[in-house]
Amino acid sequence: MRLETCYYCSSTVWPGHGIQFVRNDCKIFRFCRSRCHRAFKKKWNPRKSKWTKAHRKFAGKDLTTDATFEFEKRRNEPVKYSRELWENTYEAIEKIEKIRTKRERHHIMKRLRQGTLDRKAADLREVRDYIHLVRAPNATKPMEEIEMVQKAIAKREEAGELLTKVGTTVATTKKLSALRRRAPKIEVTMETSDTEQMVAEVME
Amino acid sequence: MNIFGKLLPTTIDFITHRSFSMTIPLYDLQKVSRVHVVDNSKLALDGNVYKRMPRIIHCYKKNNNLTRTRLIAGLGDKVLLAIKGQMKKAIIVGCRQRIRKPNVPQFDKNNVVLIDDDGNPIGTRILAPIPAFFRTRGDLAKIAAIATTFV
Repeated sequence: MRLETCYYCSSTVWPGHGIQFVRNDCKIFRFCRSRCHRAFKKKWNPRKSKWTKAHRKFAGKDLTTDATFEFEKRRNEPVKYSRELWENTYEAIEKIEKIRTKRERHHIMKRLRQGTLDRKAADLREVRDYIHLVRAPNATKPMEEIEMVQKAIAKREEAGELLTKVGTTVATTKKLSALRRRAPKIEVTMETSDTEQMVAEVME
Repeated sequence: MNIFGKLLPTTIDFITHRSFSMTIPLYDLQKVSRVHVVDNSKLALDGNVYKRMPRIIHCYKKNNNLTRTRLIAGLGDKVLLAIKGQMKKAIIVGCRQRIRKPNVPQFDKNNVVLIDDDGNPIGTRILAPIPAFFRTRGDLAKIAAIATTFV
């Protein structure tokens, strides 16, 4: 019994599942379910179907090159049986699995972290461009507040850069959390302008 | 019979629903089915290039039921082919029809290997992969012997 991978989506094909198709040039295609089989029959490129692993690797969304992937490659040389080898392989599999999933998750987190920074930058730009909708142009010291916010975010970006450079070890997570603690809390208080105050007094 | 019995419209009411049923496409191998010979014998090589593709003329099947058997050949069945104007026996080695048994794959083409009347294959090599159960079945052992790859 052997767990195969689906040709189209790269998920595991468990025994009793899926379809096996043999081309006359001796190439075997295994499919995990009819969705993949039908896509193959329609001659769709798996690299273009967004839900397949092939696309994710092609688009750089998942980890592609890593030493942990070398262990899973199929080798065509038969190995002489020894119980020790089996036991060691079993233990190694568990370890490698852990390391590989950790690295894959880190790769994804690195990608997503960039997204949060981009969103913060976009928010900042939005504030700068549309602040006039919120606060009157004659209001006192609006730019100072924005500068404070920018400074704080720059400091956090530094911390983020540190993290991506070094990698997630215990030391850097400690550093990161320390930086987070030291970074100033951003409190944006909207001060009422003179005209607004006058209006409020008049209303009372 | 099988081919023509598929699309028989009984009544077509365009106002209400269409009332004919269709079977899924069946790639059964029966009389007149065109077939791809996977040998390296001379007859096979000539036959594949001949003006007419090699065809099944007859399927050898035991009459197990009291009713007539449907002469449809599957993996491992013996058939009579018409190749290059001659009649030759052959064994079906790959089927396009999806066979719902575990570990039996479906093939690209309907592959066939030529044999003589004793059951010995005429060629010396088979150029396509062969299903693995050929190794275990006694009557197909001779074909498994000259096969190169198993699936």
